[in-house]
Amino acid sequence: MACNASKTNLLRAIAKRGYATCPRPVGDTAAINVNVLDNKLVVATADASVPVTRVSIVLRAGARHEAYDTLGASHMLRLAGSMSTQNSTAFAIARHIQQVGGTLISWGDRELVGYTVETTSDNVETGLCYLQDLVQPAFKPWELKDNTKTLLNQLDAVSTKERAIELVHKAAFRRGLGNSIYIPRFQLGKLSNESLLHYVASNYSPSSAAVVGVGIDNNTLSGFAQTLNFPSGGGSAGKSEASYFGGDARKDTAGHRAVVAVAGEGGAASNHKEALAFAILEQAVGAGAATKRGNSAGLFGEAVSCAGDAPVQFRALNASYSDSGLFGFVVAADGKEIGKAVDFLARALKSGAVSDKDVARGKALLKARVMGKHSSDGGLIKQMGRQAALTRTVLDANTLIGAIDGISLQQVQAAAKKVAGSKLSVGAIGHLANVPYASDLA
Amino acid sequence: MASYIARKGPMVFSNLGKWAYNMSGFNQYGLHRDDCLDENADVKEAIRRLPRKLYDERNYRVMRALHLSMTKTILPKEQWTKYEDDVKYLEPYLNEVIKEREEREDWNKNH
Repeated sequence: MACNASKTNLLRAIAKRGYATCPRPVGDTAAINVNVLDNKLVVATADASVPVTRVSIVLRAGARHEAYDTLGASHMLRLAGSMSTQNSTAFAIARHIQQVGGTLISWGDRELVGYTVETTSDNVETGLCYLQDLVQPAFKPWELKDNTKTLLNQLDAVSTKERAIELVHKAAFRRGLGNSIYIPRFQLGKLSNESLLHYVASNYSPSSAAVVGVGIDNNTLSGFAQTLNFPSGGGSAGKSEASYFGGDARKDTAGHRAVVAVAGEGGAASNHKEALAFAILEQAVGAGAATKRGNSAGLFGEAVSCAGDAPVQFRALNASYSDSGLFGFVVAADGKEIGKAVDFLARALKSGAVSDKDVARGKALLKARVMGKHSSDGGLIKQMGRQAALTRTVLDANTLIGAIDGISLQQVQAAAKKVAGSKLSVGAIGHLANVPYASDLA
Repeated sequence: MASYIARKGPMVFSNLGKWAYNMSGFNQYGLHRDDCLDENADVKEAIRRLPRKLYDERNYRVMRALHLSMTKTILPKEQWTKYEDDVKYLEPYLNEVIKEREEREDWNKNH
């Protein structure tokens, strides 16, 4: 297969050697170049801080695009990173990338599926060569069958906390965004090669995909992106609007622990200001302790300490999707104690109150978190990939920090009021004897 | 899948080929050429990859042939596999398996 996407011409090679381009210092954030190709594919690049090149293909084919009978297709797409494609075998992909010391990672969430390849900068060609094949997965029936065990292992490795979050999504959105990012057990071995290829064909299209790179020149990556072969009939799947319902999704299991996720309607990423306000609110009410084994300050922290001395693990939950979102908390405790903790936390969530001191702390924490993510190459490429695929543009760290500073106290309070006024969703797993229902919390 | 459509009949038709085919005798048991391949590792893997229907049909033909052989009979002539109708159903799968094996062997030689 011809792979001349990243051939450097002689002059550029000499220039590169002459200037000995220094990677950007670790901890510094990079300027980002965004370029939209003729076929509406977005290409975004940034400088690396280490001599490692990372390139991602991000496709809008996450769990929300699954129909009822293709539930789990997006999980199979993540698995496709380790299976044969139309052009190359699984063996070739794995060995060639390993041989140059690279890695290939597939990841996904409710909206996106992405493949990231990491190689040293001089071996980027090998990485790209196999990355481009992944746009055309083959899903050979026997490979699907051989991977059943892998899937089962992956499902068994899903923590109860993650499952509670999946359940609260199901309760909140029912379908679309309510689809789990993990394949349901009844679908194991039921997704045929044809239905997966159809899913790929209807969701992979250049106008909803993005190619992002860290530590690669924008022209080179654009050249590579131009050679990508998207399946024909791409993007025929219409996007279903997410609508928030609220309610319960409970799963009783053996044991004495319970994990409960409670959430109301949060901010959509399409509304930048609201999404940022919710992100600030998340930090303000308690998105995990800032110090190791420390206490979480903020509204939720106080609510939990009011609930009693029983050990309770909790954190705020904020999920912003392109057209809807969830905001609430996840709490884990002994099944006997959890009822009280959920009650107090839900009351805090319903109070819709947030002080200016909390908002100031929330802003500072969020800014630190944004900077932290943007200053490592691995974090940066994920941020860029998400933004490029969903919003078709990428904001650099400074713009984001500016936008966070621009959010007023009223906007954060409005966000808190919005979630306080919305119907709640409860996702719970474990020993649920004392877990309240959504209607009890209202 | 489109690329796995089997070839029917001989690659090049010839009277000599037809004579040899009929002389070989397996067609009198209702077998196809691909039913009689020596089951080495490649063929075993290719058989594993067959779609369920082709796999069952193959098994049926093999069992019928074993039964005929045991009873020392052959099928009535109208049920013999014809030279022109012999389906090489295993060929696309087998070729792929061989290509994959060669790729692995090449890799082990060169790295």
